[in-house]
Amino acid sequence: MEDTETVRVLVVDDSFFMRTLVSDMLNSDPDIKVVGAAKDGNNALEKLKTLRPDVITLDYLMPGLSGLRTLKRIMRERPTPVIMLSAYTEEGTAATIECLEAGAVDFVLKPSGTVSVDIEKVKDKLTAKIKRASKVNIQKIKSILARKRVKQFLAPGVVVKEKVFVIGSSTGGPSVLELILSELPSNFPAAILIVQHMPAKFTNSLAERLNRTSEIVVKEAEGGDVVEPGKAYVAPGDFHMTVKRIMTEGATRAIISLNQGPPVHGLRPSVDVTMKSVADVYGENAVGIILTGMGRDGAEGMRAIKRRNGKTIAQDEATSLIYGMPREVIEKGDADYVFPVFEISQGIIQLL
Amino acid sequence: MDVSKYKEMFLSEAKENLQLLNESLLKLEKNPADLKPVDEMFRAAHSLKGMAATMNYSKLAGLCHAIEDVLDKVRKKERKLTSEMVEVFFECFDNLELSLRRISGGENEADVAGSLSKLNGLLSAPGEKLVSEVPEGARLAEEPSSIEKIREIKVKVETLDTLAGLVEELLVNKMLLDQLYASGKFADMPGALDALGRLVSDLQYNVMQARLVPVAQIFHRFPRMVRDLARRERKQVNLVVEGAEIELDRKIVDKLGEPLVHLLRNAVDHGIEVPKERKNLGKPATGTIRLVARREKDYAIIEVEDDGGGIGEEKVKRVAVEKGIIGRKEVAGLGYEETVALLFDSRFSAAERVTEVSGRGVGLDVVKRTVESLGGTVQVATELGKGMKVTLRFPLTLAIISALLTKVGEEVYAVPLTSVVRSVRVKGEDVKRVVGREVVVLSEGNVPLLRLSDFFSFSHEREEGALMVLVNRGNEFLGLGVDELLDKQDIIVKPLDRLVRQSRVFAGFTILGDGKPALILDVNSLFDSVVEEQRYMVDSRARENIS
Repeated sequence: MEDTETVRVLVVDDSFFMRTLVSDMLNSDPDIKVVGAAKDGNNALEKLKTLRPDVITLDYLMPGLSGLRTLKRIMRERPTPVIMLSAYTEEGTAATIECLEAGAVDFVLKPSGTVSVDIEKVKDKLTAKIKRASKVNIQKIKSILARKRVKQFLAPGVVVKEKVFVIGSSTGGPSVLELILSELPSNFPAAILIVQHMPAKFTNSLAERLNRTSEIVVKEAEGGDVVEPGKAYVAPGDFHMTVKRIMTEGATRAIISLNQGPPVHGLRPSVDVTMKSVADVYGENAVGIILTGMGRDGAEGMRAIKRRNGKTIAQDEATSLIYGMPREVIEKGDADYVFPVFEISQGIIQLL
Repeated sequence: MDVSKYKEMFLSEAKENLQLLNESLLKLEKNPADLKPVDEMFRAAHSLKGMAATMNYSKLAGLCHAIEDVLDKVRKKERKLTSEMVEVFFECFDNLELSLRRISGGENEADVAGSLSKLNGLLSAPGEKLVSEVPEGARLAEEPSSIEKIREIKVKVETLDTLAGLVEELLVNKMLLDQLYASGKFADMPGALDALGRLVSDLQYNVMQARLVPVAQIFHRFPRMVRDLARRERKQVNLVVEGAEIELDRKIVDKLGEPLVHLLRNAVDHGIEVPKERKNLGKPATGTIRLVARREKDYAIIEVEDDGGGIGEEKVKRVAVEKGIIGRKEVAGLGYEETVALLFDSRFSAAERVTEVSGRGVGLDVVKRTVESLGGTVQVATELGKGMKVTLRFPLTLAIISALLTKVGEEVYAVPLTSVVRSVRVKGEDVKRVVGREVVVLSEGNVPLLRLSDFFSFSHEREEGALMVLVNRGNEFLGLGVDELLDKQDIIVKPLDRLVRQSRVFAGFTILGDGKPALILDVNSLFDSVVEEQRYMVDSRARENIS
């Protein structure tokens, strides 16, 4: 008898070797059972109908139907939580970000290239993420994807604000960030700092992708970047991002600095680190926004912003893929506003 | 987690990827304007890299990574594909292959530093040409042994399930027999034994099916080999491969590699002329070698054909005499076929067909020996200036054939279904006599009727009409007169004793469901005997007329 707790997984990979390896990895976990394997996208879509897996692992690079196109059809035909297996390459990271925005719950780096990978760690990550993904309500992703973007509008000639918006997000974040930023108008008059939990390289791909899908400028932050209105800065993977004020050319400017201090809650970049620094520098002009994600990173940062008379927004439970980080903030009473994801951009405009 | 148990799987898939890399690069070299193969190569390199990294083969992974980098630049049109690049890629692929071979033999990976620096060179110096050396490419071609034995066969899950099912039935059958024996119900045993016989033949059939492998398994190496050989000889050669999907018994495919390497090497080294010479002869500068596999009835045919210089009949004769293979007098009387057959003599090969480059005698005799050991035959056709064609014929070793069972007198004869056209019942008035032979007029023409009862000299009542199985050999037709048509059945062919075999009209025998033997007719020999008989008849008629 299969226990109801057992997570049933469909493994999709064009390599027989990889299919076998991944299946063996997963089956070695008593709570996971691989119910099928598919060698390409079309094969996966067929098996999806009969096997009805709880979670799918999907290779991003496959002949025929690509990982992205397969994912999109999965989301359309039978929405199922998908974990992408990605490679640490330029193409791999870009494809992964696109998949995350198209509804993939999460991703795991598979061994590739010269970086030596501890297969045991890959296995631990993969099984943990699969279990987490199995609990996700896929309809939430589906409704975010299906939602028509409602572009916010600001009259021309809007006055530049001193305000800064700092957004922290984790699992399920990329598609939410895409939604929020794409709804902001091109003349958005304030700066945005984004901390998304993600490894190096992926954050660059994320920034590039967000830059393409939104009207404001989005870039991966570099040390020394001047925080300018109308721009969004994504904290690079493996670095903490802080801001400081310095005097240049006779004016005070906020400058981004990066550091590789110890991980906070096991994370680098950490939302708390950035939010606390923003609270210090911007005071009441800071707005903290906490989005979907596992854990409690950001809770202290949001509290720091609130203490300095800044404002705070948390994503609501109904639209959070993983209601972890927002819950911490809301339950501690540090959220001024609790918005469904679709109302966050509007909330940002109102807090300008 | 211990990854070492995945080694065989890794090697098998890595080889597939490597093959894809080689094939795609060849395509790309032929038509550099079409960049589609680059994507395929990219994917294959990427896939191989991932697997190698998982297995902790870091050099292999590193080399794949570097290949991927260069391919990515080509794909994005940041770098142009140059002939140097193609050469470096081929070298890298050889390096990958060497590593795989070493890993397979339990050794360490090959050193990749040289390949890596060449790849880096491609990226760091755009447009700047590397020192182009004459490639030592022919490494693959030099050693036929690099064609690996088939170590694993992919079997369809359904086939395995069928096999498992049959084994299960066998077990049940055995229990039944045990039971019958123990309870002394001997009368019921023949039924169970019949069932056992059927199960065993089913089992044999399915196992044989599972052993079939596509000739692609050996063909896939040849495009690369021919390319390398041609470059070394400074010739332009286009290898056309057809019928790679044809399936043959594993045993034949395994042994086929070496003779084919010989033949292809011959075609490149001696057959195809250098471009300048070809132009002077009014031929296209690029020579064509065709490697074709196809099935013809119960035979698999493999042909190697080139449009090169060929060998003239006169030259063959001259050399044969010079080498003392044949006397001056005998040689004059030889026909074309007998003359070209001299090429298979080992003395001939050693004398005339020594390659200038490798200095090795390339013997057609070796080819002949190997092919004959597999029960096949070799034929050569050549014409001076036009080229050469070597045809290998193998019996399909599948010892099971579909046959039409017929009854003649009390005996059952099996006619292989591959030669059967249809069965016809003819009335007495439709049977004519032409030159002493009964002939039936059908839409196929005048078809000789061979009454098997007559042929096998049974004392048998003479009928006017006939029940006839119409068989063909190409465009020739023959009616086999039988008494009764029994059934269509898959039968196991068993070889006949040497003595019986001499009669030649039987291809073998089989044991029928009821335990009785049935002879299998060799349709080809029956045709021959009718032709011979007619010749004899015509001759004797002619003599009668004269007297």
